[in-house]
Amino acid sequence: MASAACVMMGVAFRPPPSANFSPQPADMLSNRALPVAVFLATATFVSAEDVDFSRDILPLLSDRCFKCHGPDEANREAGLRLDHKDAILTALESGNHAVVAGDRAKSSVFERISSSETDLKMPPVDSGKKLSSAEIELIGKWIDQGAAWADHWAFVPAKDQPVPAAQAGWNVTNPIDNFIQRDVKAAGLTPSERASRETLIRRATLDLTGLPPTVAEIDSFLADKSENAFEKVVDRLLSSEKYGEHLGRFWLDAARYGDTHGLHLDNERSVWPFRDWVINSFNNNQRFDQFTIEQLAGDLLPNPTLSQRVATGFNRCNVTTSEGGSIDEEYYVRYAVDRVETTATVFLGLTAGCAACHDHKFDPLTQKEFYQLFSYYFSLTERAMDGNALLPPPAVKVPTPSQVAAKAQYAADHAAATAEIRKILADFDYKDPAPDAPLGELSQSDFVWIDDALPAGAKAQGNGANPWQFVGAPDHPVYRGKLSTVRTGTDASITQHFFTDATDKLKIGENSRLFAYVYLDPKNPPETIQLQFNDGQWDHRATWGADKAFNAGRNDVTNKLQGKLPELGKWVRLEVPAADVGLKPGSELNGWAFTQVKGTVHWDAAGVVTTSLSPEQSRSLFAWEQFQKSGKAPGVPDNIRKILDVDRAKRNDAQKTQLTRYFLEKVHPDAQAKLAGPIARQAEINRKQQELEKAIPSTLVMEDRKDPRQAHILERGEYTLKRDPVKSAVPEWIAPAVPGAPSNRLGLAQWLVQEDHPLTARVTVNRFWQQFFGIGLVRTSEDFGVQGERPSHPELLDWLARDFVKSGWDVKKFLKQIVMSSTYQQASVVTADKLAADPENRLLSHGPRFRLDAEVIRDQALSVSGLLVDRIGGKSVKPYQPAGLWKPVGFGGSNTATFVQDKGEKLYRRSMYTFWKRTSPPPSMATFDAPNRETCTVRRARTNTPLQALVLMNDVQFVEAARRFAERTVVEGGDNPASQLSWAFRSVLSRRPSETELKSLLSLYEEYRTEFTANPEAAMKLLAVGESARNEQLNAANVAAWTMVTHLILNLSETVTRG
Amino acid sequence: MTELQHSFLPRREVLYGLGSSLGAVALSAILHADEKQPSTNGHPGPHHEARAKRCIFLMMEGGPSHLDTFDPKLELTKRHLQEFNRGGEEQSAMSSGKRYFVKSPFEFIKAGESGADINRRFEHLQTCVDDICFYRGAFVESVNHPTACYHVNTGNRFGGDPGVGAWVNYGLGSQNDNLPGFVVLPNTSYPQGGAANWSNGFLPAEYQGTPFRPAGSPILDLTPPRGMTRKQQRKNLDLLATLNRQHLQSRPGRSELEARLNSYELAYRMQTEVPEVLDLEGETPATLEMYGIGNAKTDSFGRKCLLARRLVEKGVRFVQAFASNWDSHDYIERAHGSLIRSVDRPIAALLKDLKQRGLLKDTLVIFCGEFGRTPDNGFRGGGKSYGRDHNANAMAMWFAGGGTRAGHTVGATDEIGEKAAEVRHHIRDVHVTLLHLLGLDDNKLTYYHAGRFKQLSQFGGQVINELID
Repeated sequence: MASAACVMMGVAFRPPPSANFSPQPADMLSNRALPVAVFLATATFVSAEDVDFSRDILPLLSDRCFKCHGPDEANREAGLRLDHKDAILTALESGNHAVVAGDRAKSSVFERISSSETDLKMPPVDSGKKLSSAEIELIGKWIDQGAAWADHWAFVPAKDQPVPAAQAGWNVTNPIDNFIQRDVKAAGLTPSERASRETLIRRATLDLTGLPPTVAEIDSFLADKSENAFEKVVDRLLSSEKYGEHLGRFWLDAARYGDTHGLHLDNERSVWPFRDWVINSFNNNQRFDQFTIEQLAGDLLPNPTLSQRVATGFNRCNVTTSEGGSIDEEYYVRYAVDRVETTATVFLGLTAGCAACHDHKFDPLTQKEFYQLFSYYFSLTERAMDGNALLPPPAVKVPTPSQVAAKAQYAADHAAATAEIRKILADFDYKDPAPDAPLGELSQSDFVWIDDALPAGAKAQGNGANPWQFVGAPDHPVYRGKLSTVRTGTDASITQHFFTDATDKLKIGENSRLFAYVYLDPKNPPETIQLQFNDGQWDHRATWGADKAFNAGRNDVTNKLQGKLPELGKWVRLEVPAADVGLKPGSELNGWAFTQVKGTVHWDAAGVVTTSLSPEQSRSLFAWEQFQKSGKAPGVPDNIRKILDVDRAKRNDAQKTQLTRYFLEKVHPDAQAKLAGPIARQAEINRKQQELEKAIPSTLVMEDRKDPRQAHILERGEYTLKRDPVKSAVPEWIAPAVPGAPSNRLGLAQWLVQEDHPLTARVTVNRFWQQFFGIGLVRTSEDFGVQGERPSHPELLDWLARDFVKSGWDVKKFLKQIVMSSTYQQASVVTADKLAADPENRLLSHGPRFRLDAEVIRDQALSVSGLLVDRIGGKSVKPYQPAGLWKPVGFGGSNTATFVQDKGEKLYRRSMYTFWKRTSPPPSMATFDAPNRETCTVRRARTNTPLQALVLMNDVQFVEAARRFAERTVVEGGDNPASQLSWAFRSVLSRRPSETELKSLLSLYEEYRTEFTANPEAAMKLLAVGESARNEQLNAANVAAWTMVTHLILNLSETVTRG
Repeated sequence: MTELQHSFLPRREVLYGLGSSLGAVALSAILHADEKQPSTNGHPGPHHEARAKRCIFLMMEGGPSHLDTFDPKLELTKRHLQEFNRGGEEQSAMSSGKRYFVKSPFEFIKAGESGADINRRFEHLQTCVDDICFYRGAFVESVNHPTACYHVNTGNRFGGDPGVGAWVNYGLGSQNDNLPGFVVLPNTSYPQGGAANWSNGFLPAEYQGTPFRPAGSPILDLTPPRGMTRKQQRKNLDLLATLNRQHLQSRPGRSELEARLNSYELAYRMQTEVPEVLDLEGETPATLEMYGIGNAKTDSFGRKCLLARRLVEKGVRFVQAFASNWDSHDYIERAHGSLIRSVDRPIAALLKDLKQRGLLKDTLVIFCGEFGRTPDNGFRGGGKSYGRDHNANAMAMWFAGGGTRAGHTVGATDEIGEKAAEVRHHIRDVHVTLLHLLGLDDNKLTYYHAGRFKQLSQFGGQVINELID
């Protein structure tokens, strides 16, 4: 047996390092959790064959030696490095040679590792690392055989691998099978049968859409006798929109997508349009190279489309903060580091993070190279502090298709109204009734904004518990109406009452003057009074008396000094030209503040004063013209102003017409009456347009600064310890820079997707493989470096990577190839022999089987219950979660401190739309190993805990799903319990129940039916779980009994497993 | 629970003894946790004979002042309100403006036979000092709450790593099949840094701390649905087990099925066991009073301490109880005085109760915050409302039971208490020592993740022998 193993290793078949398929000593077999046992065998029998450096030696050197004798220059001992071909052969500081090719006796490396003296022994005893005698022998052997050196496999471009010959009599669909079956054969195993059609359709539907097939879909597949029946199913699934959701969901883990900032307040942020972009991108089968470029650098493409800019949300998904006292520089560094780590993990399969602090201990990535990558992300326009805002800039608006359509409709309606206005004006036969009369008296009018109450929408604020004190006569002076306001200052500080957010805004016109009436108490006069106006900000102030209020010391629009206090003991009108306090015509006030220092002050009637023409005057163009020239009239557009400036007699016809039309439209009451209809329509359209603008979602995007920030190497990764400056650059030992590519993120992206990049395609196809087989060809899908696992099927990985690139990075084609392979379609049933030979099924001699992901488990339950909402995209939703989860992590002032559960259909959207609060991720997702989305994750753990059982047993979402599933079972499952049970079974598991399953579940159903019939109250309680209404036409006891059964079905191990 | 279905990682020495692609082997164990064969010896530890079987970690969040609790400094009294200049390196974001030395407003006594220094306000704890090993040599790196909390609780300043309790359970496994091995008793408001303080990090999810919420259902989804009786639930579980087992028979070697059956049983048992542990009805009035339960001031932390005892009694390996708000930048006499009152009686009761039940000798109790406080402060209220700011260079910490040196004070800070000066150790060495007492070797308790073997101390540390009896 032992010799069989070593022969196997000598031929073309290379065993996956951890596949436990070779014969082992009996005591090793006793613990299957030790797949490592195979290596004892490997090492023991190695003398019969050549040592493969990359497979056998490099991992040893990397793990036992590189920490002190590796790429990290700062921590290199004795000047010896073992990570480089030339270095191991050159003379050491001592004059000896670490390795003398062909002679272990002269090689100090061998002397030291085989030494029995504690002082000489390598690795040092206190390092906690050891080499076994088999390993020492292996290294000796390698030296004797010439110490051949090879680069790490993943850093060498993938080669076009020849497809192995098919195995006679075995079922081969495509080249995947040729590669897989060659190794199955070499291991003395045979592939499994094709899985049953029921298993196949469930497997493919779950794998491609994340949902189970419906009974109708199963029936249609079972009935289809054509040869390509399964291919038709696969094509249908690949063109289903649910495919994009499912594929996108994996990508969101990699993109660390979340709906909150992550740190401190953990407020909501809006980047979900990026999530929808990902879904669409997969559904449209966007080329993966383009998908990569747009996410990393869509904004830098020539004339980027909106969609390309939205794609850059990928690297805005990182965790950010706005905590007071944080230092900007530290966070700029932290964000850039996160983006390098994410980019490296997702596209390069490298653990770059190590090199933030020092040269990578194991892979050749230097610290300098890390900061060169870092530099790409160090010059963004984003701010270090996110301001706890929904949309920390840069952000873009992303209208939905229906919003785009509505926008176009409004524009058309607006244009139609404009045309109608033009026509009315053209048809209006105007003659000036007083073409030469001089302008008479103008009328002045006060518009009082604040009197006995605040304007609509105003939020009253100010010092004291009850800041707005409205008071009346006779105890208090009142100027107008019934009330005035009063305030008494107590100490030296400024005191005030004010409001903001008035919806009924105060419009500022040309030459508007703001006024307010004030009464200063002669017994307790203030030192200062101040009026402040808010047009979105407060920097518009007028001050009377001592310069002691806001912005004291300045005399500009933010604190315009008006001289001494008005006379005491009487109502005085304060008036200030709007222009003096920096308010431009057209601006609108939403807030006003009455401010004082000490004293007792009454305020009343405040607003704006405007001057206007009488109705008579406003029928005369000439009168209006004079009014305009008086400087008291509201402003006119520049083109009209220019015409007015031309002498009346010298205006040409066009100018006259233009002026007349403007006058008619804006001033002449009779013309205005005729225009009222279209003008009102336009106003309505404007209002709707504004509403639409508000409703259009926005999303975070990337944008580079015009003046790039200089990046430095940071010692130990500390932002304060800047060392040499570095420029953006790619690590060229992985692949050469693309000639002529720009030195920005676009250049980085182009570098990643160049055809012969050794990593991007391999890493990508491996991740897809992992998705369909549970384990990647390289198990460590996040680490293709020296410390990562070597591929179980290196030639297949190369072949797939090359094929993927040559297909034009065609994802759907690639996935179809996987799903169509015989390898994928094998039954998952395993024999004891196979289990003993290859417990992890790395050879794929049978179909893979693994627990479903968190989202799929919930979506499956929603789907079979009929509750699942069939809509793609949109704002994230908040379905059920146990009470009080957000509160404990919520800071006061956080807008996600309190969880407000959504209602209605938002409870039943696919799980990928569940609002992801980073400091408290959706609990049932987290329980089933969903990551917290704080950092990039390309591979989830797959655990099995009692907390998961509690979720499936007791969570309202699942119990409600069971009860609605029960209703469907009664309604859709046929007319007798046996057929109903069969329908329910098939809805979840695709297969029909076995005889014993049918019998036991039916008898359970009957038992419960009796119990619930006897106890209708309990039935009603069970049927009231969840917010969806029950079907009252159905017998409650029956449905309750079925609920118990469907609940059990949803808890079956097979249900949460994809086999 | 853990030995039934947890993931298994071969011991490091086993790995090194057999040459392999290490990452691959370790990860095979990690990622296919639920496909692994159950093992009776499924944990890396213990690595040596343990002094402690379990640990209660009293985490004083906010940074209690060592200078006002267990480390009095006469020198500060002498220099009270003299101007203080700090070196550039010690600058913190909050140290702007002129600063002054401030004396402790508290009176200190020398308590017990050991004559330990203690603030007189610890009326109850002062009677326990002969069971305590005070430690003055520890320091951390960060002066920010969340990063320092992460550092003390997970060994990594930036979070994302497993909590200490997760490491311990990964190393040793649980002793009770009906309860999680790592239970956290937080306040309604979680500490800074949130649940990441007791995360499983990269370890399998079963090792994460399970927070028992202070109000409402202590574990989510612990109650069966309305309308479903426990009997019905049992009936469903029995048939579920039968059907799953039938399925299992047609698929030999599918150990994850077996594991799933077991996790359902544990879940079912937790539904009764957890509420039972939480039910304090069975405790005598004297015990309740001893812990300060029923007294508004001490009730909250008293319940946590009593619950901690009940949990470790039931075999829970690691309990972490949080007390918050130690961040006294001003009015320290009032603020710390009140906090001391809220924890003093409960902690003393816990130590005495453990001792009288014979549990203290093999239960390690730790008291610490995320950092200590400064000897100086701004001139608040003209020196009347002073407090202390954050100080990473020294901190309040003590141990009891579990093989630590009872009745000793180990290490010292400098004369003004600004910096740990003697038996000076980074927090990582405290972690290494904690593991050591529990029979675990930090260098062997590793887990392969993101390109390297990770460990609680990050890159290794040393055992603080002075703390060990």
